Amino acid sequence: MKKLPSILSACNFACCLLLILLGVFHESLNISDVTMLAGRFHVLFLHLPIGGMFALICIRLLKKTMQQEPYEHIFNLVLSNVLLVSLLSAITGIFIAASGDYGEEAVALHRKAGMTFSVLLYAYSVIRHYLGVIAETLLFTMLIFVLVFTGHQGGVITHGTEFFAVNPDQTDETDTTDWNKKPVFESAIMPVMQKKCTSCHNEQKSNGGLMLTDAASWQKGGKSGALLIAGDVNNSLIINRLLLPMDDEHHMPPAEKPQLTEEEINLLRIWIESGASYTKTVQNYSENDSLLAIVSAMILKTSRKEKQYTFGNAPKEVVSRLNNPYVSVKPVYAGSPALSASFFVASAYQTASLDGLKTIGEQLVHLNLSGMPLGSKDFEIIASFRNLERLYLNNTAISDQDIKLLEKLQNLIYLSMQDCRVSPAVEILFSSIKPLQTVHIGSDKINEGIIASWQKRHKDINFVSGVKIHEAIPLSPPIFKNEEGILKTGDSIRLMHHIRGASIWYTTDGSTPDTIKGIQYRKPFAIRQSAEIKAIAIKEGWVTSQPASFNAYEAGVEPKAVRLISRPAPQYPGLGPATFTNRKLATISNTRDANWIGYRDEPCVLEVEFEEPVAVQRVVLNFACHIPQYIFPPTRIRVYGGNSLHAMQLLGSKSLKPIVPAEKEKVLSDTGQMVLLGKAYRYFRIEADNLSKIPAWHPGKGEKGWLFIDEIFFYR
Amino acid sequence: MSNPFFENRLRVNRRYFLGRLSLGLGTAALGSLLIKDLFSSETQTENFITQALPHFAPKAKRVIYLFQNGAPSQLESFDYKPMLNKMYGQDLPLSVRNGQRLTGMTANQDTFPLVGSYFPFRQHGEAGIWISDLFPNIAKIADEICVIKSMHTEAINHDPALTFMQTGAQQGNRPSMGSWLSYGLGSENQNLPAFCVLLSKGKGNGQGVYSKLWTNGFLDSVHQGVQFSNSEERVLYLLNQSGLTRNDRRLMLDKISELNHINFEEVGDPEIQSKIEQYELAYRMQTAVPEITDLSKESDDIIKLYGADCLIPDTYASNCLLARKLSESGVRFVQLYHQGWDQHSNLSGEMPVQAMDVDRASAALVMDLKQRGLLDETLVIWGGEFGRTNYCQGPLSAGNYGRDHHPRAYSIWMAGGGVKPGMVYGETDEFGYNIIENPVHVNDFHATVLHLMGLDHEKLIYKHLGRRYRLTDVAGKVVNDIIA
Repeated sequence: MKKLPSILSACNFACCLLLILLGVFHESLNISDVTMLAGRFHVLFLHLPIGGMFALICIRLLKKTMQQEPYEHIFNLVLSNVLLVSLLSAITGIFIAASGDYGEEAVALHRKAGMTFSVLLYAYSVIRHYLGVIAETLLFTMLIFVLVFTGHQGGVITHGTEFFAVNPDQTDETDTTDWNKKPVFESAIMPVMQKKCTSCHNEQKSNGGLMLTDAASWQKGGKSGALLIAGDVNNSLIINRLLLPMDDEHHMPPAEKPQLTEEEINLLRIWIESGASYTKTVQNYSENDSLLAIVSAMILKTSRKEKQYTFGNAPKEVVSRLNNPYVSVKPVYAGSPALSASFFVASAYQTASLDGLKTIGEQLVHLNLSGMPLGSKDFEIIASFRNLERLYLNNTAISDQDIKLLEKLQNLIYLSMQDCRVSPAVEILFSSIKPLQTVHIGSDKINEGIIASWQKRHKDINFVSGVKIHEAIPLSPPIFKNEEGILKTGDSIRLMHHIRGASIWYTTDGSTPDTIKGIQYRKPFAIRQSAEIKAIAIKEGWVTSQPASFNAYEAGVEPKAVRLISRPAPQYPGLGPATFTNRKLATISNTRDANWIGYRDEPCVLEVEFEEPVAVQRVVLNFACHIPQYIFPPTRIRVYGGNSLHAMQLLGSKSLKPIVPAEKEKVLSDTGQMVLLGKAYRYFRIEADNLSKIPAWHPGKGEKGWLFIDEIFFYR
Repeated sequence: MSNPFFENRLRVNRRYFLGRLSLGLGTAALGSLLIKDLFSSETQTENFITQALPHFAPKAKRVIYLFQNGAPSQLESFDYKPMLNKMYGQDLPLSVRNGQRLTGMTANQDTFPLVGSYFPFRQHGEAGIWISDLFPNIAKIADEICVIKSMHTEAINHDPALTFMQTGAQQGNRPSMGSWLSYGLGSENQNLPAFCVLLSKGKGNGQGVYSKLWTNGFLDSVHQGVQFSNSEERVLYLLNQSGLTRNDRRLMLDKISELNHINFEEVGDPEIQSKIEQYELAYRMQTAVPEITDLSKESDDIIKLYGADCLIPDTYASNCLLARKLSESGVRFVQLYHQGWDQHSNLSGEMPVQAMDVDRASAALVMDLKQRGLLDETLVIWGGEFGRTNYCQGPLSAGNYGRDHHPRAYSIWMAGGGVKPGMVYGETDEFGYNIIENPVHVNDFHATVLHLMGLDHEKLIYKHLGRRYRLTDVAGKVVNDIIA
């Protein structure tokens, strides 16, 4: 350890000599790979002298509290180290500067300062013992200043001169005035470069020997050759570098830096394709040139940035006092002085609330009064908000008189008056308010022809008219208001339609209604026993609705008992025999509804017993028809009757129409009935066969179909 | 200070108190030494007020999210792949599938026969966007919409995918998108909830929706989505029972609030504060909701625009019309769900019925917002939770096929709210299986929506269980290319 100070001092001496040599002959320095590599270490070393000097300052401050000898030991050791890293930093700095990637002017100053610091520090370490307290302190202070200056110069090289500007974002702002008179290169391409490229390719720091700061430097190119070949995008270096994969080390900008957007790359491509002219302005390009479109889109976008206002903030207390549940006043965004106000709940509207906004009249730029019950007094107040830019008056009763008042709104850009009863007199606003850009208007007094003529006369304004559907579109089917399909005594069928003026026509026999076959629905009607009601809705100007169907049943004669003769499918046992007579209908969408009883392996066979013989005239079955779920109507229904279970005779047999491919989506609760002669019997036997073989057009072809029965009704 | 958002984190609950105790005392001591009044409550309130505003000038103020629940097939709607028709019935090349995991529903299939759209496609609008004939009305607004064909997600089943789309996480303990916006931007209209939910059901094979999709998660309960009913009375139990006047209700609420305040003083549970707020909101809603949900004054033009169904309360069309009215009245986020898009089988039969339900009303909503001058400040989003496979699930027969879940690529569209109109973003390969250009992850989608609303997705955070949460958690990039 004892040898350390002397080793350090020898190193320092050697380094100092080397530095001076390099300093004198730096212009004739030959760059080899070794020196290049050594040069890269500059970025590592340069931070150490700064930290070291800080340590020295701290030690000096503690001098009074320490004894002389340890103080000197510590101070000397740290000083030698600081000196070593300063010298190394300066030497490597000279190497990196010689690589030529940096602007000579800025580097020269940094180099001089760095060398001065190192040499001065060396001198200080040698002569400080011979100096008086004041001279020593002065020299030390001077060293600190030189170091700070050197550091700052170095910072300028890497980060640019505007790094310390208060608001760095403002450098993003591009001057868009007269953009169409400047060359496209300057108005569109340079701003992209300034945002994404020139922080590394500038006069001070030209990585890869490339500067991108002006037309001359573009034409010069860099170490890898010409930047671009006019008209040949595929062989232009700049485009290739931009399009390399992110992980390629030649990809530009480097992966950690902000990348060019697709739009920006596109701009460059099109500009190169069209000849890469540094002087042509947009006016030199033909109107259909894609370059013109992309340039104007980009520039207008940047200039559409957040608007700057000249007025100041409204006092916070004032703004918060204006807010209540029915009025919301807020800055347009955090920190903006501009305010937007919206009114809610028409029945709670008060003119006084609108009048209250006068205290922030200067700041108010957005106002939404849609749906509010406004009168002339309110419009007078609105007209006093001179800075208004967006005004919503949809669904308000604005009169021609009120329209005239709005002429005072000379900053209005956007006006929406949909669902208003304004007359064509509103046109005066379009010529008197110059900034107006968009007008939404919909009124039964203004037809599409008037709007088209306005559009011709006021080309700068975009008119948006109310949408009118001229084609006829279908009405929705009528709605059955009855909650249950099984009617209680005295219940009637209630129908409705939501659309005003739609008439409803219905039939009760399952046939499709029209205005000849059907009955017009005017009031609730009763049915007898059971009915398959179908109803349509009709209105002029609309396509007649699809029929809605609804099966309604009276309860009929209640049997004493029902016995299952065949076995239902074990998965769908329903509620057992009671399922058929519990007088509750199942929902069609839910096959698990316990009001369904399902059959497949065996047909449905059951016996029904009454207290005493009943002269049944009609037997009605309610069953499911859910074709996508393999549930088909019964193919045949047979009814037997008798006064003893052993002497039953066939009363009727009926085959139902098979389902055809067109009905493959059919999902509904269907009804089937059997008309009998009405002879009285005590026992009845019902047989309903399920489909034995699903037809070929169905996904389940060849399989047995399911039969789902819900209720069976007996009517006298 | 009536907005509970501002007070949100000042509520002393046990966790908050203990969390602050150790750190808080030290920093308070140091802080008061350095700068007087550093920790005065005023600066803190200031901070919260500015947080309840957009971070920068927003493009959109409100969102209407038309969620197509069950995942509509992109291959029969917006992602036109004629190659699949050409290769009808051939097996999906293994190189295309490339080891992609499949659901249990098709993983055991022996073959994966490719199947193209049963429905023809046509180009629409100036940008020539390909849209299938199932959506003739959406085709008419092609110049207003931005179709993103390169959405992709991480989940392969409905529940996690839906939850991911809604909350940015698959597990379902995080706040929904609408809740985040309610938290970040507050409510425009204090008479309505900032986040409303409307449900409807098509005839196709359906998947459930459940209230965890509109949960406030760890955010204050006032940010929870409010589900509207499908009955004629759209908000149940809102109106006063007969015999109770508005004044009586006021007196009752005041008394309840007094009791709740006493309880709050004792227990300090922030949920009590939320409850008081909810009672007050419901009281204000008593005037606002009947005004908005009354569709009887809608003009014939509007009814024709949305279609005849729009006056029947449980339909998608009526929800679209109501969504417009709610949004127009300042509701920050209106979330619709339309069920029935899960076409594992019988796609050719169910898809037209589903499309018919939503086509006219979805387009009507965009046109209606536009005619009212609201489209440029209202973001409309249409889409499901993932896509569907390009191969058939189950047996393939002429005109009948099904498609399984496909998270690698799906299509959604957005309109208004500062999104570039009339464009297509992203592209899939010719099999419609993998994304080949501009992928948009669910997190990117969330980041973009927040950005359009004037919020930086990396700054909209909430600290919970010792860590900071975001809607995009630790990912998400704003898709700048679709922003106008």
